[in-house]
This record gives sequence, structure tokens and C-alpha cells, in this order.
Amino acid sequence: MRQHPEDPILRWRDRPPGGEAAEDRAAALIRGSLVPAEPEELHLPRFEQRSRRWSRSALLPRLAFTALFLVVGVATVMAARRAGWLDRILPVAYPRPEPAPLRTHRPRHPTRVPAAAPAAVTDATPAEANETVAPPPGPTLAVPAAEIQLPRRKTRASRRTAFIDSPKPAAPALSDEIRALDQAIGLLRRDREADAALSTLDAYLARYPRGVLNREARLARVDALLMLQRLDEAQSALDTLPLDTHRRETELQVIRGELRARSDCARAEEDYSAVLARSLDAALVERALYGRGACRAKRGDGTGAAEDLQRYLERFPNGAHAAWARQWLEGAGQSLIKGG
Amino acid sequence: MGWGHRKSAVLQPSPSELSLASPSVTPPEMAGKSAGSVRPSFESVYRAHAKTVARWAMRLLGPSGDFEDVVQDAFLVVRRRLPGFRGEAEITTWLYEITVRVVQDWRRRARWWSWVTGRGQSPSRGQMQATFVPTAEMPKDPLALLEARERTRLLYRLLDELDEVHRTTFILFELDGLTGEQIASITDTRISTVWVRLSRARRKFIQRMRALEAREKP
Repeated sequence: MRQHPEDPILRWRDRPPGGEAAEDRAAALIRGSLVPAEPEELHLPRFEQRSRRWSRSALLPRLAFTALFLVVGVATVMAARRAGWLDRILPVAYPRPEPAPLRTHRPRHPTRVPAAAPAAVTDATPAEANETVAPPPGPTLAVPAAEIQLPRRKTRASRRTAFIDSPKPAAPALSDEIRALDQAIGLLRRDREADAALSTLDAYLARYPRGVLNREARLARVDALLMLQRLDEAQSALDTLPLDTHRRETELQVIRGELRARSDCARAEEDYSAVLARSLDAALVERALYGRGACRAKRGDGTGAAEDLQRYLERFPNGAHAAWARQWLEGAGQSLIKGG
Repeated sequence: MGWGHRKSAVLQPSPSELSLASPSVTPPEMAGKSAGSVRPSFESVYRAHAKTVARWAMRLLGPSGDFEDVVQDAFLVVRRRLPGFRGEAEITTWLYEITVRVVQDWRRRARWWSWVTGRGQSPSRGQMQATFVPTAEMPKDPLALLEARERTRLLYRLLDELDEVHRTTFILFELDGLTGEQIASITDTRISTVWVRLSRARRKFIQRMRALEAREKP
């Protein structure tokens, strides 16, 4: 075989024989090799027969292999995602959804802490009522700490929605933050380990003082303190936390009012009034209305207290504080009649 | 290179391929087999070219490959794609291209099977044994034939250690005697790429050969 005039490279087999270079040995190897023989006749019927057999026999294994491949692939990806490997490999493409904030419910048997006692009814002025009428049971602080009801586990659909609805890819730092906060909230919700959750949250806040999830961490910290009955610290934490108008934060504002009512009814009234001005949630309205009425009574504002408690009875005639409200109103009414 | 790399080459020869498939660049064994302007039937293509395709397959696979299987697969592709073949190109060039791709595909499957089962090549579906014979210049005595068979086995053993594209380029150029332009057309690459691949294939071939010689040296 001669070199083609268009080819700039000489074929090895066209090299002159007898050289000792590696290329010469390779050329000798090629020159000394056998070449394919003319094959036997390949008949068309045999081709057709094999084609039919091949198409029949190949379909099932191919389908089985494809199905197996898909199942193994999907299982691998799901396992990797569950184990968090995808977060490490593709932290931007697979952000984890933000944890939902803790949600507390009004407990069935809440821990009740005596709070500010209302003013007693007097026969002269509401301010002197304490001295003449035995004070009814004081308002109670319904602290949901021990009864923090955790949200149900997210459904598959909601998880998917949360994942899809992630507004923008999370940065690696945010992933770390989410993981840290997740751990604390898991301790609080699942394990009810308020002490451990509090330590974790304090560590989180120390590590990320300006973290994106700082607010959520502080809210969770309040929950942990309430669960531990550390009411003064919970009040301090709530005092420094600007509360929003969401349901959860409105509830925290009621709780803050109840905590403040123990020593500062004026500020407690502010919280109650703010809640009553905007909330339509019956449970929160009931607590706020009763709390404000009790505080007003304690501060000597008999008229205001009577208005609140009257409203309370109209709206919640069978409420938890209805009996006390009736008792107080009867005493206040007598004293108001006497006082003209 | 693979089936997914450039399907149009197999589905339908591009205008550049058609021009490259002119008689001036058709390899010697392909010459004189032009399909002309009339589209041939599958039966006529099979009868006319099955043996040629089998010989190409033997060359590309080596003595241990299942050439009958490759011929079968190649003509399955031909039957599927023949309606799109416009008959403006050399049908042998088109068949050669299909054969190269089918061989590469077959070798990939064989490697995969070998990796999964650890049992060497995939079980052969063909019943015909590939035969390699001495060239006219070679002595025909039994000892020389035995040595030639051993050299052939060694040659393909070295080739099997090359990457698929390098192996194909090496065989097409060194063993089949195609020109760079023809190889570029068949493998759908630029001619400069062909030379680069050939250069690398040669370098690796020499390296493997030296390593083998060093191992077998007493």
C-alpha cells in the first residue's frame, strides 16, 4: 500500500523493512499479521430470521434493564437528598426549605400562673373597691409553654411546594444557618428538650448575630423559655422583640401582655389593646379582652373594666373567665349605683 | 464518536459527506460500487454488500469479535435508514460509516458486559467464526502461519488497549489504508483531528508495545 498523495503521514507498513526503531517493529507487526478472509455467504433469510428473534428477545431485557436503572437512579437520588448529600454537592441548586416557625395553641390544660389581681368592687369608687369586696379569683396567665403544640409533620405535597416555592437559591451560609436552627427546633418540637434547645439557640444567636433567621431563632427561644417556666426571661426576650401582625406573633403579644400584667398593667394594656384592635382570632380576643378588663380594674378604671368585661360576657358567655367577670360586674354595678 | 454524536451522518449523509464520497477519495475496495442515483432496495444492498461489511467488521473487531452480530446490527440500521438515503453518495462510504459506529457500539457493550460479569466478552449471538488468512506475500508454511496468527493476536491485544476513537482511527489508517480525508468523513471529524488522533494512537500503541516487550523479556 502506497502513501496517498493527500496524506502528509506515511503509513507504518510502508516504512522500509529492517529498522530497529519501535515504529519499525510496529510496522513489522502490522505487515506480518493476517488479514480477514472473505466470509462465507451471508444469506438474507438468515438475517431476517435473526432480526425477528432479536427483536423479540431483546425487548423484555431492555425494558427490564431500563426500569431497574430508573428505580435504582431515583432511589439513589432520594437517598442522597434525604441524607443531605445533595446539599453538600449542590448547595445552591437544592436549598432546603426554611423551617416553619413554632406555632403554639391554646392549651387544653394550660399552666396557669397567677398574674395581676383585679381591683375589687367598692361601694364608693372603683379605686376603693379592694377594701370592701373580697377580690374574685385573679386573672390567670395562660402560658402555653408546657403545651406548645407542634405543627403536624409536613405532607409530601407541602414539602414539595415549600421546595419549589423557595424564592431564590440559598447560599451555603444560609444552608448552615437553616441546619443549625433546624436542630434547635427539632429538640424543642420533637424531643421537648427545652434546655438543650435553649442552649442550641443561644449558640446559634452567638454564631449568627445578624443571621437571616435571627428572628425565627429569637421566637423559638421565647418558646423554650416559656416551656421552662422562666417567665421573667421570656418577658425580657419579648420586650426586645418587635412583634409582627401574624397569628403567631399576635399570640406572643397576648402572652407578653399577660407577663407584663404581673407588674406593669399599663404596658400590658397596650399589648391587649393592640391585639384587640387587629385580631379576629376568638381565642386571642377572649384572652386579651379579659386581660385588659382585669388590668383596668386593677388600675382603678372601673368604667373601662366594666366595658371590657361586659363585652367579654356578650361574646364569650361560657368563657373560662365568665363566672369571675359576672361576679365582678355585679359588685361593680352595685358600687357604681351607690356612687351615682 | 457514537450514535448520539452525530446522528445525521447515519440518518442522512450531509452534502459535505456526499462530496467527500466522490470516486477520487473512495478507498480501493470501495471503488466501483456506486449506488448511482437510483435508491437501491434493502435486499439488493444486503446481497451486494453483506460480505464486504462482514470483512470490515472482522478488521475492526479482530479475531475474537462477533462479526456476524455486527453485520446483523449494521443492516438493521441500514434497513431503518435506507429510505432517507438519497443515493447521491457512495453507498459503500455510507455502509462503512454505519459499520464503524456499530462496531464501536458493540465493543462498548462488550466492555460493559465484561465489567458487570467479569467474564470477558459478551456471549456471542453469531455462529460464524471470523477467519484471518495470510496475505499473498506471506509464506504459507504452518510455522509461519502460526507466527502470523500470534502476531495478529498481539496486534489486536495492543489495539484493544487504546481508546475507542484512537483505535478506530489507527485501524482505518494503518490497517484499512483509508486516507485522512476519508477517515474524517466516516468519523465526522475535521481532518486535523484525524491526524491528532492518529498521532496519539501511534504514541500509545508504541508505549503499550514497549511495555509488553519489557514484560515478556526473559
